[in-house]
Amino acid sequence: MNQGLHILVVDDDRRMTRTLADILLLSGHIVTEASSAADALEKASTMPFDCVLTDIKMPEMNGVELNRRLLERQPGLPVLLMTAYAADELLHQGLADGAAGVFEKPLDINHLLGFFNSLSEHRTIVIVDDDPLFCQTLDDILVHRGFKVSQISEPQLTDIELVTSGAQMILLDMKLNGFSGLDILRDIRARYPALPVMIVTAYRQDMAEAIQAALEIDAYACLYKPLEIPKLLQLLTKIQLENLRGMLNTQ
Amino acid sequence: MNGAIYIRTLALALSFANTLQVIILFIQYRVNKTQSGLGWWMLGSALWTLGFAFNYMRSFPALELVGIVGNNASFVSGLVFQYIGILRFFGRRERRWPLIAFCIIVILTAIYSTYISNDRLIRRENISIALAILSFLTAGALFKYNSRFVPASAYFLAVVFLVNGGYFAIRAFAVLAGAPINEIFTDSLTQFSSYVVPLTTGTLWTFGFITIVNQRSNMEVTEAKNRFEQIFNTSPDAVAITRLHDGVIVNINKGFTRLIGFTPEEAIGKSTLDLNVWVNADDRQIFVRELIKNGFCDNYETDLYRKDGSLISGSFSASTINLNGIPHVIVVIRDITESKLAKQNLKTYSERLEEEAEKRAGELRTAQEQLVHQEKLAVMGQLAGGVGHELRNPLSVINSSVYFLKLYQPNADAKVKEYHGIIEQAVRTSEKIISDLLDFARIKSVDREPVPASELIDRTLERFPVPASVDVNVKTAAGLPMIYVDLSQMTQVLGNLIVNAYQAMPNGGQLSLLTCLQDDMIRMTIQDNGEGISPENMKKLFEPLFTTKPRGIGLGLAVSQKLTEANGGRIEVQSEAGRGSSFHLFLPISEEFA
Repeated sequence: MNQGLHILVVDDDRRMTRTLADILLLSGHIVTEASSAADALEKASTMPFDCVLTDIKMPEMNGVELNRRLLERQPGLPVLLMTAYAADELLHQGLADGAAGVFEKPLDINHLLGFFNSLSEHRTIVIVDDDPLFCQTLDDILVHRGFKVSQISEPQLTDIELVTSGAQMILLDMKLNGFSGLDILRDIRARYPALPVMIVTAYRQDMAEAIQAALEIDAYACLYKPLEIPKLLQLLTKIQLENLRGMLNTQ
Repeated sequence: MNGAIYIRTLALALSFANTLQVIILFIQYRVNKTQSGLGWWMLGSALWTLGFAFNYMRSFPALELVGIVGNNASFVSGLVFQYIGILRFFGRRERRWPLIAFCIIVILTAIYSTYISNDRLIRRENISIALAILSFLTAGALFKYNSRFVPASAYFLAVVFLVNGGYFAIRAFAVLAGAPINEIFTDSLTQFSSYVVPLTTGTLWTFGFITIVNQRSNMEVTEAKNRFEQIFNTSPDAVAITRLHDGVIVNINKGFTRLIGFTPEEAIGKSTLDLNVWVNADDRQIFVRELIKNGFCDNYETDLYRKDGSLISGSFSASTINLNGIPHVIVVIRDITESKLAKQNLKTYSERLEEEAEKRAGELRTAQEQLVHQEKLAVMGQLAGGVGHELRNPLSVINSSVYFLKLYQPNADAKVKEYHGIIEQAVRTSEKIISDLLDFARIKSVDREPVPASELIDRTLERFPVPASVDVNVKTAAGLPMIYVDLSQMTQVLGNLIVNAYQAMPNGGQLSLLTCLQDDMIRMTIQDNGEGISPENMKKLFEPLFTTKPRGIGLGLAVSQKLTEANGGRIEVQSEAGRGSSFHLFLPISEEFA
């Protein structure tokens, strides 16, 4: 399943945003151009983006500062930096602040497109829980924070393909309506050994055994309901960044 | 009456004799201008003579009183003049007003006692005391100021004046003691003596004056001669007196003997040519010609032989002088050998100093040029860095544009596709140039680690594939310690050297990569058998922007050297035009194995 991403391209050089937009459009993505960091911040606050690609050197506010401000608001938003200057202090700062990666100019467009393809394929955080309300609230929060979310509230064991397609990670309730989360986890592990799965449960004591079993088959972590949202966001951000960087490096 | 005639005759004779004395003194005064006082003596003598003439008038009754006063006045002022003359002769000054006052008192007294009271006693006392006082004053002055040069004649004169004074004193005393005051023209002893004594003393002091002047003149001549000889002999410079026309030496001083070596016995009577002192005989000619022309010669420098044959430098100063009417030359020779040597040394030294300064200035210039060069490079680096970065943006746009066109027209015709390729290639070349520039402008931080030399070679050969026409021979000594370098930077350097080697062999050839241990460093030798490097290019090899390639900006080796040095290594080159080049890359070994 390859759906296009909505990408915000930021560069004070309009020719750059223009050519990139055209290329990305032809490659099946949706592009919004911004010619300054301020412009970009404004656009990012009014519509959701799947990714931001920004030049570093811009007048008034540079790309690294833009990255920092974007991630402050939406830690789940993948940001890529572009630069014509190798080995810059700013560059390190940007990466430390949580930018997904750096592309040097002139851009290796194939690499860039490859990354976007990976991102479009593995961008979603899938919430598997039989409580629709829980799913919806978490969905809203995460989307607001820049993540892409899909929810499955009536999981079927046979739907494992549906669960995992486009997922970069899965939030899995251990106790589903008539299913064992552990069984689903086992299924996922069988097909995608590396896909991060976080287990969630409200029954710390009752499910202790299952949790232990899940962790043994590489569940990423176990979170207990009621979820501590900041901690969850932090964890998701960290996992996503690892994913993104992994994607960049395998290109 | 006989007596009167006799006295008159005597007075006349006295006047006559004194006139002769005045003439003598006048002649002496005219001849002897250098000595003072002589004019006063002459005047004194003249007045004295006049006094005798007045005395003669007294024998005529009509003129008697005028004669008496005139006689007294003349005698007093005459003696005063003698006194002044003596003082002046000894370089003294008279006290004018007391003397004038004295004269006036005596003359007024004489006039009073002649015309008003006609008191012969007072008259005689007046003149006798006045003359005695003046004689004693003069004698006293002679005793007092007698200079050591004229003792004899001065004493003689002093005695004459003393006696004269004594006579008048006795006369004054005799009158007071009641001796009869006779008529002036009686032939009594007193009267007689009053004629004879002035005559005698007058003659004697004229004699004395002449003697004292002569004696003093002699003294002065002797003194001058002595002084001259003293100067002549004690002068540290060599002084010689020679005859102008033939150069025969008349006299030499000790300085001459000291300087030139000849004693007076050896030198006097011979000419300077006989003594063979001239290094250039022509010098004497020039010297004499100048001397004759100007009458003197100042600091004429020439070289001379001493008696022992050694050479000295002399500075000649000379002037002509007449000795016994024959023109002579008095020559002063100053030894300037030392000063000339010192001058020469000074000159040499200053030349050396100049040379040194010039050398230093040259070094400084070179250093400055280097500095300017470095500065230029630094500026160029900065500029290149800035420009490079700025170029990357439009380059990126071009790149994206081509990419878009390819994407947009996947089925474009072959020509369009070929052009896409051309643009992409040009972008890549541009990017390579920018990377080189940036590498040169700024060394990235060096991240050194121990690496096996073989890994560096393998990685480099992998990144810079060998052209088919080149045969590569890699030889690495066994058991080498690891090198301690930034692998990616050294890959770039080694790659650069290898690519250069490929390019030196456009028609193929042999590339050897030999690695061994040398002096605690790993030496990698990249050897080709290509065209080699000409000696003039050799010098500029590592200079930035030097290139022999049709494409390329000439930063490859400059960057390689910079990177190698930043990694603690160095690059050396050996090359022979037509036979190939060897680049030796020396790299530090890891401490762990050192």
